[in-house]
Amino acid sequence: MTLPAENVSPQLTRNRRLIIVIGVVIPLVIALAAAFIMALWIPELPSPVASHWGTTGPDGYSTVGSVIVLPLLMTLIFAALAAFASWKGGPNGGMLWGHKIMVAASMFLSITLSVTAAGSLAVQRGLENAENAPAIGGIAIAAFPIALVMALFAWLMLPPAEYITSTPVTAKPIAGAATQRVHFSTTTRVGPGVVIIVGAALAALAIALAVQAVSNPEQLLLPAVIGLFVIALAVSTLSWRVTIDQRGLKVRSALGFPRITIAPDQIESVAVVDVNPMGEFGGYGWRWAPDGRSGIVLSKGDAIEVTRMNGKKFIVTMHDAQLGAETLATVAKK
Amino acid sequence: MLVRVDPASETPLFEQLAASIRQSVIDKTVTAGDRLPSARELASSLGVNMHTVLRAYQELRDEGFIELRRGRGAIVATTAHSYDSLADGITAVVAEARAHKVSLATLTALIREEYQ
Repeated sequence: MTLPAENVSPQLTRNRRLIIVIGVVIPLVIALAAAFIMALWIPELPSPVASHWGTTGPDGYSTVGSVIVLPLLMTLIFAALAAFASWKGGPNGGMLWGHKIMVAASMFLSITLSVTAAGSLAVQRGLENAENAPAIGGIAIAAFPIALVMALFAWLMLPPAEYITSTPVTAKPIAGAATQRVHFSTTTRVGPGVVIIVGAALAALAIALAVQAVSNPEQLLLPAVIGLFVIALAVSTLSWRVTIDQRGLKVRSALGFPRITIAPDQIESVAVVDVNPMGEFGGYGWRWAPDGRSGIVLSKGDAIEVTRMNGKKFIVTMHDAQLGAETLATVAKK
Repeated sequence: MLVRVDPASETPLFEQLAASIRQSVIDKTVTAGDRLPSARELASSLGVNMHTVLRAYQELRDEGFIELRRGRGAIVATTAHSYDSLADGITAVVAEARAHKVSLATLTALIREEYQ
């Protein structure tokens, strides 16, 4: 099998090198160095070691191996994700701001995880029993600004973000008698790629909750509530029902909430735009872009863009955006 | 899916509704398994009586375009015929008419004559 030769611009090659070095190599070197140092401390550490702290001291314990391996594993997974997400670059070969955030976050995550894990073991060196481990709040607080500064450096080392500006094409009203009434409805949902990523993340969350339920059942309530909230939020934003009629535009999530309604008299103009979720909105779901636009961004490609009377823009991605936009323009005209 | 009705038209509303939905199935704006708005939803959206929508839905069900299921509303039927060749034929006929500068009125008259 022969693959077609990929035509990669020198700029993209340069950016990919930066992504690998800043988003993968440096974070992994930091995590590996931390793992190596922690491994050297093993003879001096109690077994098991304290791995979780409550308000009154350590309240969770685990093997030293998991404290060493977990930050390394998480760094590896996130670095791979950051590289994978930003590999293709923007439409003009540059890096989109969403890509830059992923790479910088990889650096941030590596440092916070490594420093916190190493710090939590450092204070337990020479202890007979992990129950006497001192509090580590200070280490976690110290790790945060260091990681933030390094992430900022990572951001500055990367090329300036490429912003995508697509040209909106104003939609014309559908021809017809003045007495005609129109109804347009469609379901818009995320693509299979996003579903897989969300599914994997939710599975990880469910496993984390199950582990918490077994190891520390008395402190399950808060994580369980947060977990269920996150799951509900994720599920509700994956699929939306769009209805356009004489009452305006209504966009409703699969669960019925949240919903967004724009009445016809609030509409200044309607257009069809080509949307790049990562580049313009930094991801998928109910999104706000740095340029002030908000919207339901579920797929790459066509979207309805509504400009309200107050100048604010709202967009919804969908496969039949042209027809939807024309319907909304018809309604708004009246 | 786009539904257009004109209460001022002489054609009965339920016929207009059914024609709109039929067209959406034929031009593949909606495909097998897609959910149509519930009769209540569509009625309030268009400002028509719910029974008008139900009548249109029943007609479409009898023609095999949609399935009506209790509690699940209307779904585009998997048994709906493929209208691909019809759609292709129409595209070809319209292109041919345009090439020969045959007006829309003449073309529809020709089709009507052939159909009857």
